[in-house]
Amino acid sequence: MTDTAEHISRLEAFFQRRSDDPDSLKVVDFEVITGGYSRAMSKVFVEDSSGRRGYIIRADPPPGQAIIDTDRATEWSVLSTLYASGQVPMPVPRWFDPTGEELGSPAIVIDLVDGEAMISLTRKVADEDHPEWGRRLAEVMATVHMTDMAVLPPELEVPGSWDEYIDARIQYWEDSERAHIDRDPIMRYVAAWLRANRPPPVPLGLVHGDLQIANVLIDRDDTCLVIDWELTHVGDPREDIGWSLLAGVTQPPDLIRCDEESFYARYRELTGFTEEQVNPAVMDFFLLLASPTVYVSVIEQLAALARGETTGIAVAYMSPAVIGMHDVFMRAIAHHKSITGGAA
Amino acid sequence: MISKPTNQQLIEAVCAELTGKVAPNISDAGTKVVLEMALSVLSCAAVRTAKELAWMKEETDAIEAVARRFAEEMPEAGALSSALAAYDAGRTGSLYLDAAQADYELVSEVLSCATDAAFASGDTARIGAVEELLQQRMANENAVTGTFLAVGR
Repeated sequence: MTDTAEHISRLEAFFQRRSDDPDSLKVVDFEVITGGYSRAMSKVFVEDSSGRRGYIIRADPPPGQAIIDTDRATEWSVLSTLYASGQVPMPVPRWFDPTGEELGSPAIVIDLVDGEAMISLTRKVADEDHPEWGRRLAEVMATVHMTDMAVLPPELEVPGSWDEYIDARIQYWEDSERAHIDRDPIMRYVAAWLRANRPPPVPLGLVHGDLQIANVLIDRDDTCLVIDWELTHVGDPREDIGWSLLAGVTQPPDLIRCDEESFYARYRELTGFTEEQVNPAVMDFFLLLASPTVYVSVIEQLAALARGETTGIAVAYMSPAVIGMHDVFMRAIAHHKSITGGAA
Repeated sequence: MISKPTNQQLIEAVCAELTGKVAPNISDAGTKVVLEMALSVLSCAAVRTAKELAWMKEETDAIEAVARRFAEEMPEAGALSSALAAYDAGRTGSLYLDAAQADYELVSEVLSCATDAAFASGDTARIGAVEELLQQRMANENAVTGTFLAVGR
């Protein structure tokens, strides 16, 4: 039996155990999803006497193959708690195999959405339509960021204060560089620059952690659904905008910078944040502040490759990605200077 | 040893074959992504193999000049002095890649400490000087990758 055939057999047994008519259940279609750099993602359709249904499986990949290691149990807790709260539109989280006993590795099963990702949808529309999509993205972000903190699961640690949180995030840049097997003066420069350019605070809130247009689905009712919650934490909500700005460079279109003022105006209107708290220069700061979550994971994986502990191509490919991110970091600082006059 | 074709030319020949003959025959989406990633890594390796020793030397010379001036102007910058001392004691000047990389790591730490010292001083001219060094580093890095666009997304 091939690996794929064996996997499909496991899936069939998994869904049969959760079907009202297990004897009639068959896996009728299975497809590995490309494009994700962290989880092993697949799409599966099953059919039983009650009809045909589609699901997404988010599983841990084999060791050394992921560029980011996150915890499925925490992700499941976030997904199930947030979904139950009804505050953030998201696909229905169905089941969790915490040990991999049933699915081969720890995995989450969510409903397949009949729709399209905002990234592929907006690649098909005219450039002049991008600002309108940018305002929709601002609405999605505001919805996530205005989530009532009382509904969040206990796994999400709440920092003591905004200053404490920001200090720790900046220190993370510096400490990670010192712990890395290669010297990276750009990381130390970013840390020094962040310390010198702290913006006005906003209340701590829910941060998705990877809120970019590849992670927003538009369903057939035209509702925006947010997916991929593995990096969720409590922090400064503006981190999500900063991270989305970085993603917009490497995975266009950039729905924020196509009309920054319109995006920020809509976001401010919905969150109540002021123009001093949310503007293009402040978001350069948050592009940098948000980035180490992924960036440090990436360089740690590259270090594993340098030590001969992995040979994964997705990891090797992160070498040019690191250079691409360096470039975005330096451009963000230059952009900030062009707006503020270079006050350090 | 043979020196021609160069490593860069050999890698580029492999890339051309993979792009022209292998890629069109792959129908599986996941395998296509793997090949695109491999081509990207190989292209970067081709550029690096041709130039990285020279780039490291050029950057090292520029960092040394700024850092030694900073160390004289800011004797209170202890971390910078220590990094320079470690560099002076540890550098080999060898052209073997492992040794050259070790030298480059030492001087990169000097640059990091010079950056910290510049920001601590609040002197915009000093901050500008380290930014120029970082721009030199970025120009070399960007020559390796060109514009980075995420494969498969």
